[in-house]
Amino acid sequence: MKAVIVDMGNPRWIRALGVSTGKTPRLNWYEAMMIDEGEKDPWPILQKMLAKKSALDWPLCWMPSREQVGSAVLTLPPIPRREISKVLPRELGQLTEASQELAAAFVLGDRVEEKGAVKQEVISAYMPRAQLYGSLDQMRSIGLTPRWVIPEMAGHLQLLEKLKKNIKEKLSGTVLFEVGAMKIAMTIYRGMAWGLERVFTYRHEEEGLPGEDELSRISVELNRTLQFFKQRFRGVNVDRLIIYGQSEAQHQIAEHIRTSHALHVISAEQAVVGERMDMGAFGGDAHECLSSALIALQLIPLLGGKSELDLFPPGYLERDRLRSRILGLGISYGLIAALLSVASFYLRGVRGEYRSQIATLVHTVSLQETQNEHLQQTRKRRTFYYQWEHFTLWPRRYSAISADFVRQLTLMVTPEIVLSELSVEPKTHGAAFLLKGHISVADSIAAQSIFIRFFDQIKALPNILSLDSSNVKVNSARESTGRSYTAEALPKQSAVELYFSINGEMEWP
Amino acid sequence: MNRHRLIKILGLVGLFLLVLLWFLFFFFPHTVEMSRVKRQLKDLGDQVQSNMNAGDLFEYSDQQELNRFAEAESELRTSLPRIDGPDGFLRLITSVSVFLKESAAAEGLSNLIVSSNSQDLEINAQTLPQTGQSLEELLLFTSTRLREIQVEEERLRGGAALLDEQGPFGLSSHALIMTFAGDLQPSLSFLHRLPVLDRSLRLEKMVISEGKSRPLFLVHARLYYWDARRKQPPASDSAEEGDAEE
Repeated sequence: MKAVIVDMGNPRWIRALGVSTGKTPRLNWYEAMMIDEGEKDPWPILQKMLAKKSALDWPLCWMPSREQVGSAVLTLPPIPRREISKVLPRELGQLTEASQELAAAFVLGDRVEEKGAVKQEVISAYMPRAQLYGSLDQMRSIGLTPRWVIPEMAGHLQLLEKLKKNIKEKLSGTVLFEVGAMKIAMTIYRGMAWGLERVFTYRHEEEGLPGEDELSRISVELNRTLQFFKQRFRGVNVDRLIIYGQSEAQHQIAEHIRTSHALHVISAEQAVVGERMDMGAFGGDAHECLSSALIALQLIPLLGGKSELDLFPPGYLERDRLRSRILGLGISYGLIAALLSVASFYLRGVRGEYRSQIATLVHTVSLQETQNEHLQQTRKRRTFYYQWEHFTLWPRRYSAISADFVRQLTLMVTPEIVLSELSVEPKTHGAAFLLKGHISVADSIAAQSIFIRFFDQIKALPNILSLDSSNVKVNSARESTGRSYTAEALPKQSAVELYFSINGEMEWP
Repeated sequence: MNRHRLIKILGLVGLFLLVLLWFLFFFFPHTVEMSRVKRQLKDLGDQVQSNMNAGDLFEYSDQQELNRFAEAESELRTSLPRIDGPDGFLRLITSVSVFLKESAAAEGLSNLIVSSNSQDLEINAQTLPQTGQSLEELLLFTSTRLREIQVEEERLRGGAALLDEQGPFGLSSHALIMTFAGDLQPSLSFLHRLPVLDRSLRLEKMVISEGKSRPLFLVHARLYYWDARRKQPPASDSAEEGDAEE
């Protein structure tokens, strides 16, 4: 995996190391840049450096400056790590009297006995949470991808671990002596536990090397610090000093310390002897590079997994994911709302179109109904006219047809036929009549013959629609006996009377 | 529960609720409204088509036809007698009786009996001089037939005998029964002339019976008139009533 280690242990410098992790870690490139006095924000500079190396998207391990990260050793009762994680921010807050919330990481140190009780040393690094988040946000805002925030102390511990392996004995007190361009930073460890840190400035000549007086002052400062350490941590013998840094003065200072102090001075190369690291790309500059970035290079093995001293907040990416999720949900809501709005708009449009068609049709129907009203009025007048015509003509037609029918009957009637009653009643399209009478002759055959002839004559009249003579009865003339016969039963040669009743319908001529 | 998962679930549930609410408060009411609108549109389309068909079948009236309508309406209003009270009705009946009497006399009929059974007026009058035996026969014929008519009317109408009826066009009417005896020729002539001479008088039934010396006639007539005591509908409505009668 390729990654970038950004060493900002020295606040005035940005040192970026492009590395590849693996069995044999490799240093691909190394860039160092000094931050100008007026420059407050180092991240744009870092962005330019990474852009120059085309490593903007590489995961980034940030080593904050020693001014940003604090170190502390707490002595706590032996409690589980989870409980330590819970109480650590509060304990650190009380220790540092900080008003801000702190982000902290820790490693377990040795168990010590205090006043008869066994306690656990907890070596912690911490920094203000707001500052940590602010820096991470700034890095992400310019396209960098911070993945680890590992304090300098983690590099120190890695270095001490290697030293312990090399010397194959328990470490007592060790001074990590970083020589910068203007400052010297001393960190003293007692075994693997952080003990003391001191930073002081020094002056050098034009060639970059300190003079004799300055070397003496450095020696005094070192001596004073060691004395303070001995007072604070009694019984801890400081016997080694590892010197490294980017300044050319480090060799001169190292020689001076060797001669003036009873310390075993170890250079950067000696500290990492036996370590497998590919620095082939740097050729002759490898030594200088190793010295300058000694601590940062110690962080490479930590990049594979999760370091205990990693200050990268576990909730940070989740917070970021939460933002993404909320953004995603917002976009989804927006899309759904937009879709629903478009659908609503479309459906409203369709409905509006239908309504406009309805309005047009209603207008058309209204016009048609106005016209229809006129039609209906005219129809009513026509109907009235035909009714009135019928009303006025009907009595005349009835009178005429009735009188004409009577006149024609009188022409048909023979002497044998006696008409007793004629009733004529008007109908819608003509008149219905009922004619009653009788025929008196010598025999029934003659009577029937006369009746049939009379009936046929009526039937032949042009206005007759229907005619019915179902009620025909032939009686004997001897009515005094009270006997009556049907036509078939009457004896022949007898005087008979044939009573008939004819009903029918006439139509208007 | 993981906060992120909770937010995810809440977000998805919210999305579902949003869509559900949209369906509940917009889509379903919209669908119902669309269905109503489509139905309305179809009804209106059918109505338009129906109106077009009605218009296609109709022939517009010309001025000549309109003039005829106006004449007919004017005739209806003016050609029939009008009464405005009981006295008016009495005068109308009297005038009709006089008209009938004069018409019968003009045709040479010997007897004419006009009968009316009305709540307003009862007429049982001989309109021409009596002539002995034939009058008796006519009176017998009249009384017999009137009784028959009365019995028939009571059977049909539940006891209300010969009441006035409302005629077409909102006209009032009054039934008259005429009986007379006479020779066939003048009698038929009399009957033939009646509606020609008086439009308000309409013959509704005629019965000719055999008499001893001459035929006996029974005629149901109805007298139509405007009665101002009743509210008269306009001519067009009268036409509708005419339809109903038809």
